[in-house]
Amino acid sequence: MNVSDSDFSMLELMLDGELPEEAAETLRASMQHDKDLAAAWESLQTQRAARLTMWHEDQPSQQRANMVASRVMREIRVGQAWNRWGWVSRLVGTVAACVVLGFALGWYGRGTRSAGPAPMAQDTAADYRVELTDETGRAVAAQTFHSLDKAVEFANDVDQWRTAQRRGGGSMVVPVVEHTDQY
Amino acid sequence: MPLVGQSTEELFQKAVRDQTRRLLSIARAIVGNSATAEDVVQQAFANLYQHRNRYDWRDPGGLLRRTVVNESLRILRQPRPAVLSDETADADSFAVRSRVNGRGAGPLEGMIDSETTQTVRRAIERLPDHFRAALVLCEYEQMSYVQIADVLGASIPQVKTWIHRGRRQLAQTLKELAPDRWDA
Repeated sequence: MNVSDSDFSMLELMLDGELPEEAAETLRASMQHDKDLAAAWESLQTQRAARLTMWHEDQPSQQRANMVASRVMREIRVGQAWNRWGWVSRLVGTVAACVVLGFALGWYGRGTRSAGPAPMAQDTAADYRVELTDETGRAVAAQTFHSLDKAVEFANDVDQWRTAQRRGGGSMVVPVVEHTDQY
Repeated sequence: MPLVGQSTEELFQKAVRDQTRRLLSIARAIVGNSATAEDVVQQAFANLYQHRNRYDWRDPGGLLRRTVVNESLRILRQPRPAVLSDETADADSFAVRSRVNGRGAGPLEGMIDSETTQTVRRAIERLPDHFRAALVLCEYEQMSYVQIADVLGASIPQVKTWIHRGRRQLAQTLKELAPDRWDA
């Protein structure tokens, strides 16, 4: 076959229905005189017919197509159900995570506070110390109490005792109450 | 916008019922085997269903065709495992007939025997994916170059080139596979 590329392209355009009718008429007229052009046209048509035959043979039956269509719809429904359950499970998971996080934060906060000095412990650890001093202010004895009342009571007792001693001409002892931390 | 009285859901289901066979044929012609074609069509519908409210389902032919072609080309771009040919894999699924009684394109079709069909099938399998897709849309779907360019996302000259080169390559391959029959 001796057909130029441009002629072959024209034949293809005509085969595909893309060639204007006037140009198609001219090409058909040329085929009457040009045997190569006519042979090329026939070859193009034969090959296309072979392809169409093959594609038609491969076409699925209506029954098979219906099965695939049913499968498509079933898969879509299953997908929808999964999406719904996925949404619910995500919601439940989020709530559960929030609860766990809140619990963890609370537990952590509680643990941190107990590790530090507790105010109550500080209060209970505080002692009251009553020192007995001589005339020069030097401590000669000391007594500790867990409450201020007891310490004051003790100091008053010592005061009364000191007053009695003064009357008797004994040495001067002065009670001094101090607040101490026991650490 | 759906028709009055028909929801998007109903129109989508109707499209699945009415168009699946045609879409399977297109996908089969492009990917080359029926099992993959079914996967392609199923995936195409699943993708469209996710965004179904964006589309007009009153006349979904073009949309479905475009989606299936693109899904077919996407599948072909992926690494391919060995696939049994349809003749051995699922002869029941796709009707394989030795002769076609002149359907569709004219009298020449009825003259093609099964051996020729097998030769043509092997030759088409060797075509680059885009050449094959363009040829399927042009000859089997009888779409214009403008429509093919739209579906494949290419320019019209590019589509013309793909079809032209596809035919040239097919003619050459046929001569190699069956020189006595195709050496014209």
